Amino acid sequence: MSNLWWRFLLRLFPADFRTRRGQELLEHLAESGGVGRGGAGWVIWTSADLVMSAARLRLRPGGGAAGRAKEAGADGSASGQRRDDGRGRWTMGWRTDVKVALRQLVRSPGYSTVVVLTLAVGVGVNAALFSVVDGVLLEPLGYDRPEELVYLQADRRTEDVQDVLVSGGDLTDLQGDVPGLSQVEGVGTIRQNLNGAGLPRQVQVGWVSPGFLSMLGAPVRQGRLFGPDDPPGQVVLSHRFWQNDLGGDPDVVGRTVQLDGWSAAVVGVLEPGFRLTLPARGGAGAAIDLWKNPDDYWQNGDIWAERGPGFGMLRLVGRTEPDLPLPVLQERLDAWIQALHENDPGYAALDWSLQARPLKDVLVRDVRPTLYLLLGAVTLVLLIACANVTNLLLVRARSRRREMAVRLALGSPRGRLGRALILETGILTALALVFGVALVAGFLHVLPGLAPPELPRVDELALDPGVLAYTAGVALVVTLVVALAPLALVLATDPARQLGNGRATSSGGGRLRGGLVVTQVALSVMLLAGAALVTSSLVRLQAVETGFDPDDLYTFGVSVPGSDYAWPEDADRFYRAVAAGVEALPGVQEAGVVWPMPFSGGWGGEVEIGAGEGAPLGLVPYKLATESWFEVARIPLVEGRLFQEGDLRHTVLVSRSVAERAFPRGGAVGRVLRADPWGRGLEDFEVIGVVGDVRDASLREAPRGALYFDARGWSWVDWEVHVVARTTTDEGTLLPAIREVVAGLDPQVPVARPRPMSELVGRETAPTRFVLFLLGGFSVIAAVLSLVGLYGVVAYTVGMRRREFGIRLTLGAERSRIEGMVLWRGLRLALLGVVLGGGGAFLLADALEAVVYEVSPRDPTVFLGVAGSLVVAALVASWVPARRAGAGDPTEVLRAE
Amino acid sequence: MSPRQTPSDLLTPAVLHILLALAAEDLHGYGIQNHVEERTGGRLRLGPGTLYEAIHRLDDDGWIEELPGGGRKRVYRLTEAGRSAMRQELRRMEEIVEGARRADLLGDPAVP
Repeated sequence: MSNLWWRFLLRLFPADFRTRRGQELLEHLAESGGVGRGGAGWVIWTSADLVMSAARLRLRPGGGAAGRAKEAGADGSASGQRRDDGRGRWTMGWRTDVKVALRQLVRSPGYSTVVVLTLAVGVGVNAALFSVVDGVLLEPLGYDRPEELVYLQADRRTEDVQDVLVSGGDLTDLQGDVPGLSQVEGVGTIRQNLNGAGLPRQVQVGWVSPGFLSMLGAPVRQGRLFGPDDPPGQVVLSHRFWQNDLGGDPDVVGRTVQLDGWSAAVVGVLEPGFRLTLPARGGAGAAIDLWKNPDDYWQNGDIWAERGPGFGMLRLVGRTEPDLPLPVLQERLDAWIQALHENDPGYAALDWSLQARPLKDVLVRDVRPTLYLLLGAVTLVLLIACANVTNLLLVRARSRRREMAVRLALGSPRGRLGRALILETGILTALALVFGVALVAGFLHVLPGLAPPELPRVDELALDPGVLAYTAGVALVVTLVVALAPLALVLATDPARQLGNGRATSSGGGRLRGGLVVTQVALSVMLLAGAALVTSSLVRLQAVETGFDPDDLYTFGVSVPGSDYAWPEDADRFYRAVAAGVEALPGVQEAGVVWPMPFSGGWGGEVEIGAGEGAPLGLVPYKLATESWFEVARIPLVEGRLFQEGDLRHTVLVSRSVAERAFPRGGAVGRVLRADPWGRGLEDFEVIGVVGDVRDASLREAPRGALYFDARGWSWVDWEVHVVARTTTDEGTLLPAIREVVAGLDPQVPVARPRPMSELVGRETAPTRFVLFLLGGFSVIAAVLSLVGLYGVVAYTVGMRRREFGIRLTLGAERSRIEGMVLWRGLRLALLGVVLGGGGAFLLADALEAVVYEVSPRDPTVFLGVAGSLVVAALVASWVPARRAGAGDPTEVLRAE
Repeated sequence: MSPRQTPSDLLTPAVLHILLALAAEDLHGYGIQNHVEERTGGRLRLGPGTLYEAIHRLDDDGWIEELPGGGRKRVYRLTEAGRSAMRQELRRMEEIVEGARRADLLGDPAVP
């Protein structure tokens, strides 16, 4: 291992050295490592020694074998500096300049390291985030002619509900009926049980209209895609499913798989790259295992024939004719909708509409504001890094003014000096680039583990040429920007003045340095304010009252096939038996059944109330539950009673807010409302009780109220319901026991998606945590950089004014006064920065709108807190040089002059 | 190859110590390192890079040379040119020290 490392370091040496001494050096290292010097400290020390030696050998005047041969002839002329022979100063001397620049940098390793690391951080975080933005927002979709693909979003505008699912009938009506929309297809996703060999498990199935896959240009590895005349019940496999579940069977085409007890014939297998990640509805958009063509079998009949604005399970994707502008398509869609409204009052009543959006926009719509926000943040970090480095370069250029003056006086052209300076900066940025790219590689490695599921395509990110080109571009711009100020300084150098003065003590340029520090502080304040606002949001988000107690809940899904459970009561009995079995496990307090799970999407429908009651309710979430669910989740019963054995099917529980809206004068229990849970028209339901409201659509959304229907007698076949248990038993013990319970009741039924409820709640805060992680990291980097910058400038000023302070002290000035003066200089810069940064943050606050929760992006307490802590930190950063200013022994300082 | 007479860039403390070591006996690289470390009571530890960089340069300049047929490990010997350069440097140092002593700048050896 370490031998490899030494061999790597050996490559840094000139070729001549490698051939003549390489083996010897390696043996020496091996021997040294063997006599107890192999510790980490020794390795680091030795590595540094090797790097420095290699640099010295390479920088040796006329270094290398060729140089040696030349030198042998030119006896004694070891200067190595060749004079310009006048033929094109710009083309000659490059090598010398590079060498001189390298030598300069090697000579001041501390300075070089600080500059390289600062720039590496600045460039690295930028490139890292750019790679995400590039991969997620800019890379074209992996589909055929992606620019022509549109997503048709169905809205019900009367109720202000967006992106509702569409029925198969609507899809059929649309096909070929809108000019310019050359193709439109539908996709729905459900989970189904896969039976057959091995453990029963659930798979994600994409139900697609026959042309869906071919419209996207899904690449086929084996077999074919669906044809328009295929019989129902065929499947195309994803590459992953084919590999993992069918062992990559080469003769898979023609085989059948069992889904919920029904056979489906395999017609093809896709290539691995193909995926569809529509915006998550009801949790993360899971990868599709199998694609299934239209099927005449579905819980409530044929979804492909059913039509109506409130019924369906499809989402629509279409392909436009080439170059058709979206507004034109939208006009035609509107006209089509208009005609539909005239023909069907059901659609008109809901103001059902279709909005065409580029498919790509839809895929990234949830993350775009966040990514742009973060991109802005890293740009600020880069600016801070640039300001910092500019300051360092300025200080260095200033201290080298005499050297420059001498070189100018000796006839070196100004252009050549400027070039040398840019070269020096360029070398530093190039090194920073290398470290920066390493940083990006590391970041991309850890990102998939950190990113929230809402960030699509995150596993496709790669360090591709685009990212590298961007990074290199940033580095080039940075070089030019940071070299500008010192360059101006060099070009303005007046040799006569510099050399005549004997000693350059002027403190000119202090204003520029001060300005750069103010800028850094201001930018840091903006970042810190952002991070603080997100932190505050996260705290509030985590403290949200959900109306139920998600701690110590463990959940899993079960679903039984309709083919085996012919009667609804059979399914109900099965689910209750599972819940009872789980409840009987040691360590489990209660168990109940519910659908849908909190934070896992939902379902809902129209609710009508009698004349003379409250305002119309419109669309209300529907839920199914057993009476024990309320007990398990600790949802309080406010009024009336829960479901019980012997209830008729037409009983319902309402949540408090629904009760208040529907029956404002109170007394909801015993009243009747009309709902349509079975999709066959409104029916009467008697309210038997009122329960607490639950915030379960999203932590950020206020509870919308709900109707709970009795699970009893519900035909739950082919439908994943959730068993929820209250327990503190750890997963390792619990899960096998649960599997045993379920298998004991029906060995064909898998335990689906077992997980603690806290995981679902955690998913709700994941995007905020992700933003906070990055923004917090960036702002800490920014704050450290700018405080170091502040320290540097104050310390430098103190260094420049040592003489002055010495004189003042000799003349009887008090130390505290001098300390105060220095402190005040630092503080003044910081205060100015804080004020400007506060103003900037105030102006840009809207960028945070997408991530903050229940806190104004212009929250004054947050601003004051950030400003206060930065001022305190600035005081500390100025304190150290201030002490030094006052601590100097005046006689010593003056003697040094 | 004629040796340089005033290679001030070459005579770093490390190089001088290597010359001193080789003046005492012919050594291979590892031996030089141990010799220097012993001689300076562990105060000067030559890093392998520094060591072989110096060997490389001294060899290039003809101050030291490799003993022929030295087996697996190369053994180095001080050349005449190297010896005279070393003497020259030591004399130069001696003059400085002597001058300092005459000016009573060294003080009592017992007081550091």
